[in-house]
Amino acid sequence: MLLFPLLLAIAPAASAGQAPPPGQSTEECDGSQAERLACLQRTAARAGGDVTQAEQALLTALRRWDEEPRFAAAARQRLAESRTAYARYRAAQCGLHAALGGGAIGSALEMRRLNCAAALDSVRAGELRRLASQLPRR
Amino acid sequence: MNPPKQKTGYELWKESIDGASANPGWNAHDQTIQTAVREINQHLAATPGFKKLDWQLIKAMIWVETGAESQEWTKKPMQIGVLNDPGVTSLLSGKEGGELVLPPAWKKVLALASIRTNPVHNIEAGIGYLMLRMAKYGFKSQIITPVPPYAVTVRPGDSLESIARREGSTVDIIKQLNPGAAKMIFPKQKLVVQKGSVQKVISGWMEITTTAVAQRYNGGGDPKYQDKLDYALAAVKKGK
Repeated sequence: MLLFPLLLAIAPAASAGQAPPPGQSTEECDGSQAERLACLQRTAARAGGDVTQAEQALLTALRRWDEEPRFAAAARQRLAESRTAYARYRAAQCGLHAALGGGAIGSALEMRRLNCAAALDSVRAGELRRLASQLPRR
Repeated sequence: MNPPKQKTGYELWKESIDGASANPGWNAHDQTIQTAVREINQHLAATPGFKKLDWQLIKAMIWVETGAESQEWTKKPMQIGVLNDPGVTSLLSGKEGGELVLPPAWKKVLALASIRTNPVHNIEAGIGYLMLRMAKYGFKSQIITPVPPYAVTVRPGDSLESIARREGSTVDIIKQLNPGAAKMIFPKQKLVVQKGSVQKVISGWMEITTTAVAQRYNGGGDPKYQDKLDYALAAVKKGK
């Protein structure tokens, strides 16, 4: 239900070059395939952590928001729904990226999945931070 | 004055490849690769359209996949066999082509655990999986050789299909052994039958190029895979 607005939110940010599109080579992950896999694992973990931090930043901004508490509560509820829908979307989308590697060996498929997850998380974190920065403070 | 430009990961990787041939560590798997490639070339020599695999391509692949500076070099130089690798499952399943491309001696020893930890097995599994991905497959009636042909009598209501089913043979085999029975059979007719079944066979091969390896082994996991493989292969050939 929340997937469509989420996609709309992601698409312009991705095209604006805030993060490499899923599937595009990440410059720092460009050595041997073993190095690339380890590097993408670190990059994806960092990007996932960045999303968590951005969510926390938005929750903090909601606590300080110059708005009636019921609107802040509704926004927190929407954020929780968005988090769940995003996680489901990311799993499906990055599963698609991996599946499009066909019968390649497992490490190559995992690289495709991780590259996608890192790129999507980077966009998601940026979007959440932008939303937090737009809230007027009390 | 501008600060010196920082080298990219790709440039650093190329530098390590440039120095690889002169470094014994990077050549440590040569004998394993040469033996494995010789064995698989012998095993597949009789399949239609087979062209010998070049051991230097496999050497270039392990330089791209890991390289001597990687911790994986002494365990998984071909990188096949990471956790939940569907490639290993396909290779060892016995029904997706591994049963045809792997030499019998490899089939006896290759196992999931050993492919993940034993570099010789990892190289053999990587080569086996590459060949599994490069082979084209078809289906063909094959005679089970230890059982000699024998005669059967056609019963009322029989067809070639029912006889093949009853005798553990195939329609194609019965037709081959009884050229006159291809169009029509009749009760009390004697037919020669031999046990056999329709089996998956290798019917041809894709050309094994760096492009094909990048597509079939790496599947776009690294958009620069083919460039890297071309670079490594040139370095391997130059350093031989």
